[in-house]
Amino acid sequence: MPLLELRNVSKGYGKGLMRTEVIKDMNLSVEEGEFVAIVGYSGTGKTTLISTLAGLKTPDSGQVLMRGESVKQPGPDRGMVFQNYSLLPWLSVRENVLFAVQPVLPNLSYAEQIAHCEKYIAMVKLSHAIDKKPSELSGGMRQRVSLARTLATQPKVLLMDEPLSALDALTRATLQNEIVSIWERDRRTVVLITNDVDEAILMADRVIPLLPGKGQGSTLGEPYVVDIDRPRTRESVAHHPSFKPLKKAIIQLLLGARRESQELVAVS
Amino acid sequence: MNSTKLKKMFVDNVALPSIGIAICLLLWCFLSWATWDANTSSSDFPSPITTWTDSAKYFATPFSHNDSEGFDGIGLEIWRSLKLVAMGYGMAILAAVPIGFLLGGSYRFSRMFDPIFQILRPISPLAWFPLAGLIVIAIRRHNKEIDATQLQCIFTIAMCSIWPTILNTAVGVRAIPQDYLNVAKVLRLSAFKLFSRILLPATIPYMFTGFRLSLGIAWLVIVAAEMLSGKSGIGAFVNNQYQSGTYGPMIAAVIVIGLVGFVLDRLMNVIEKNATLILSCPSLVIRFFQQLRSQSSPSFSNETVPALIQKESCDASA
Repeated sequence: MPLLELRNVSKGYGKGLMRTEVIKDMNLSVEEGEFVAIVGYSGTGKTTLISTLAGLKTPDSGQVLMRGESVKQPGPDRGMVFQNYSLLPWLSVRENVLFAVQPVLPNLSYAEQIAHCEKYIAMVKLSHAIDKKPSELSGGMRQRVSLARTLATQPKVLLMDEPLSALDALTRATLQNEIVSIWERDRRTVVLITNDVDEAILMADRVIPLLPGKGQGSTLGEPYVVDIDRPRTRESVAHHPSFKPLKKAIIQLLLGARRESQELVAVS
Repeated sequence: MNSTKLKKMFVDNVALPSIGIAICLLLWCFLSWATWDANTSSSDFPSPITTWTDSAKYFATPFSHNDSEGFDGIGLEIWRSLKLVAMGYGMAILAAVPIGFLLGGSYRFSRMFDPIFQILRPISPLAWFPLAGLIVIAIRRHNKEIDATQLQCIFTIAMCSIWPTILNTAVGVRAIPQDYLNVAKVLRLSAFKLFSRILLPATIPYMFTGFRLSLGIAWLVIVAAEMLSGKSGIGAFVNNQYQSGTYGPMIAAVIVIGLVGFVLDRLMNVIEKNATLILSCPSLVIRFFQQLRSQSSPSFSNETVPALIQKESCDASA
């Protein structure tokens, strides 16, 4: 049984003539321990898709299933890493992580909760900044805190909504390598949403293109299996013989789908 | 390098304000010179020097009763006014914070009461004063001990100074980023935790802006209310001096009112800037006790941690 599943999920906004379908009849199944990346251009409903998986948005029709059971609300078993970090500015790095750990692991003593937080902060290499406030950190460091906060709650699925898209290219590259190496140690189930094909191929076992629908809401395309051995780094992946053809195929599919949908808009 | 910096500080903070004060004193002198009455050989508008000599006795021993001569020091009058302000303002902000949270957080509450608040807000303290009097009459029917005029002033202050805090708190609640609420939803925080750990800290800067504005209004209102009630306090002092034609002390008192208002505003400014720090004190105390408790209780070994987590996730999926 897949760990996380979407069955014929549709979601749109507005009513009557103002209605826009964002995602339409979407099916997805994510196996336990799998790293799935969903790639799509902006405006194709990426955030709607991941919010639906998280339970922050309820689908208009269809079902979100977690181990076969219907999901109706968000919960800590689906940990979310938000695009804009969503750290609480009045708390330090340690307190931000502790803030998430306390409700999820209430049976631990305070000292154990702190130790638990510190372990995950060390994992994202932020021990030196543990008492700093988010405003004193760079964008990359903030996203690390956000990642540590979510990992520390030990979710069954890690949902990442374009976690690196607000970062500069260099920081982004470093963090990509780090996320990959953390994942390779921990093998947690991950759904990553991104607009970066390289990033998707680097990290994921399967890359699923998010295709803009023809005025009907987006759908998911056929998955591409990334058969590049782990451990991976940006460098090893870039030199792998199957990297370039895979990247080309995905980009062409995405561009083609976008062109089609735009032509349709232009005609109508 | 350093001396130019010092020089600039001196010019900005000492020299320029002094010149401003000097110009105003000159204008004041001109005003009293222009209103010179040769028949009484005095000015209708007292000069700065006359003002000082006439009112020096109130400033000489500001905090003492001078029963034999029948007047109280100016500090004592200010103190009486400040006490009333503290009570009225305290009542106002205690009521305003929960109302502000409801107004900002509940759509229905805001549809119900927002129009009423908008109508009540511009009502002048001079109009609230008699209305507050009615309430005091009703209370006095049950308890004759109460000082009616004081209570009337307190109510008037509360009614006038409540609005900035209500409205700013509501704005603060509405301005909480959706992201914070999403984090709370994913963690399934209880309503209490959501309030105490996210809504309240996120609203604090707005709330404290409200507190500062409210205090400014409270100080404006006390003078008006005491002028109407006419018994004690700095407002009554101004009114009494005016009625008895001793304009020197009256002008001095007006200046003191301004100075006290200025000091209160500066004070609130400092508090506002350090609001988060001040309010984090209770949580620091709680953390201290948590630490004490965790040290005294037998702690889990590291091996039990994954087991607990396992149990946790089973509970969640069940």
